[in-house]
Amino acid sequence: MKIYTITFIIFLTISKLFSQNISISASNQLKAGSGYEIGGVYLHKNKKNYFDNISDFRLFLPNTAIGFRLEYANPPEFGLKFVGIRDVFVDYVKDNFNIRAGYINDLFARGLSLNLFRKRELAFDSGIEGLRIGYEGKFISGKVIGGDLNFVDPTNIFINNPITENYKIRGLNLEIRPITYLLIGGNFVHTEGFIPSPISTLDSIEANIPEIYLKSKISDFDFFISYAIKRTLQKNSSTKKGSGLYSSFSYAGEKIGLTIEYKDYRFDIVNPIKRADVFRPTRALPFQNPPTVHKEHSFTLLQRFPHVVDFNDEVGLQLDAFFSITNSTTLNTNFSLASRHFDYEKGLNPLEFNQKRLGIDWLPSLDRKRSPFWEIYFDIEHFYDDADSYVRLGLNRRSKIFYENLGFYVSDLSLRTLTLPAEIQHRWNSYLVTKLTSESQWVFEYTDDKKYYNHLVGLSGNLFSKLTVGFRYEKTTSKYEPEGRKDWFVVEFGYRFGMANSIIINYGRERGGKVCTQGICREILPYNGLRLNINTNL
Amino acid sequence: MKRIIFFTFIFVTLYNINSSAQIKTIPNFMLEGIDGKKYSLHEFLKEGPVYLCFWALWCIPCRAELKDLNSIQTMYKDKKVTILAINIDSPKSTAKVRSYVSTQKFNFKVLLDPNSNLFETLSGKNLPYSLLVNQNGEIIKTRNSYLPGDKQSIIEDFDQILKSIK
Repeated sequence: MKIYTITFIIFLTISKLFSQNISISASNQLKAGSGYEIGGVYLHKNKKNYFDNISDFRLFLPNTAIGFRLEYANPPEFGLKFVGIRDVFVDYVKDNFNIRAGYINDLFARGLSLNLFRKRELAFDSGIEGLRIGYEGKFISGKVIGGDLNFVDPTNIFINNPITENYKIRGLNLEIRPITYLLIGGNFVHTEGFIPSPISTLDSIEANIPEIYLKSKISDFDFFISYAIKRTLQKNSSTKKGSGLYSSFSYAGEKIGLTIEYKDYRFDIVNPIKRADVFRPTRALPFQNPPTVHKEHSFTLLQRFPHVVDFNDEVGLQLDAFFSITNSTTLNTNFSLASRHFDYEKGLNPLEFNQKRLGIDWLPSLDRKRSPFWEIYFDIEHFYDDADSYVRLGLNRRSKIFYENLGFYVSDLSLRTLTLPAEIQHRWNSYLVTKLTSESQWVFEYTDDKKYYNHLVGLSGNLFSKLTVGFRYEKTTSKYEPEGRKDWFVVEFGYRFGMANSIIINYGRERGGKVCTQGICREILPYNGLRLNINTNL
Repeated sequence: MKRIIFFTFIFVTLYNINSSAQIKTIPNFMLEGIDGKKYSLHEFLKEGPVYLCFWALWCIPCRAELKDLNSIQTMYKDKKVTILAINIDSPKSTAKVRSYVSTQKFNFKVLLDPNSNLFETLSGKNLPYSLLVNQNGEIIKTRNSYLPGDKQSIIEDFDQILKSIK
């Protein structure tokens, strides 16, 4: 308690003493819930109460921002319990220079060698505690970064003693713009890490990740390509080399916007047995997070059954286009395809595998032995004169095959879904706006011959731009739900005070499932109960 | 008991910050635009007030706000108000942002904050998140949601800030 008191006193004293030049900003987010989750090996109902309060304080001086977060997550909604002060930083910007000390999120190019970010809803945080010095010039820019990362993978936070990986990270980024249309960049990241794997005894690593990239923009065309090599050194072991390539090409016209992306991630291609060890020290490290190269959706049912990107062994492409049919109607189409690079055949003994080439390894394949994923999506959006009224209709077809040959058995899980989402929002008069959502989904897990149908309906109304009342109902014909349930419902009430403060209360039964954002995935357990969210900005 | 003391302390502090009615000044920042050029906030503040709107492709209310901002920008094209739409999509979507923006024919500048550095520095937590900054760099209004009907309140804010300049 003492530390909070001292920090607040210092903070407020500074602000009062230098009130002419200093301003304070604070925001608070409180999330609390009371109910139960269905989880664990025997799918028991477990009481779930949580209380997460985050207060962010910012102190702005001329050219300088100072900030910290006061967190009370006890018990947390997800992630680890924490009570105290974190994310302290000082940010100084003067002319073309910037210096930041303390908590840092950063990105080099598209994240092949370094992408430090936080996703609280997934309990993912790869931000470091350290120092960054940057320069932004017209022809040249660059930054150096150094710090420590203590990383807990969101997939193991639920075990009794979560595994914490420690890294010392040093990075350098340099960009040169020799002519207006061209930018050439390079990064070098060095890390010394400790990864306490429950399987491997080699837990100390040293890795070097050099990267080179090129960016060009000519008229309405954009081109980007980046290539990174990762060399991992371990004691008493040979150097392991992996690589990653990402490229994008886009055209931005008045009527058509087109983007083609390509990925070839080979940071750690290993046989199925080694692949099962998710803590292997040679894998892509948690601060490497390149583009996923497939679409992330906003409709609820489309967020189910996500494709989990394997940054160690995946090749794929994506084509995304926006067509502006009229000034108020836009069509979005998306196609993505991805697969592993190789097949593995069993050797003479159960632990032996032979890598087998199936087709061109630098192109994705539909061969089931390469675990293919593909998705096609259309969505049309029409806004009426007033942006408060719109219609959005979508169509999605998705297929993924998870082929695993572990020597003892062959597992070939295939899943196909067809989803039709729709959303209609209408302004009736100056104070009432309603929104209707309907999502239909047909699921085929054809190896096990499982077929079922999911449907979600939502209706909400907003009054005077302040009060929101909503209802969501979901049903399934699936017999395979962990809790054996066939339907779920949630009622929601929200009220906004002023423009920056809001309260949301919802109550009901929520369906669980896997959620992924930016290639980071987490399993959400079914939850029954009450949730309260209060957001405040001062 | 500790929890009660802790939260009482937070709310008293927040209340103190609020009641002191301090002027909140935004620090300068430099971001890359979707045209590949670098822009700093100070450049725009020299012209007049700035409305900063953080958004992402997946955020549907943000897209409604951008539609409204497009028509607001047209209404105020001869007035010295700048609208800056700051995209916080992660690097996975950066390539698509430009093609989306061009087909929507947005008439305001779109900047990129791909790892949400600026968003977090300015205490952003959820999208949509927007700030209205006057010519002296003082934050006049913060908005942490975009509900139907908010277009009118943005227009009122713009009129008020322009009146204060005169």
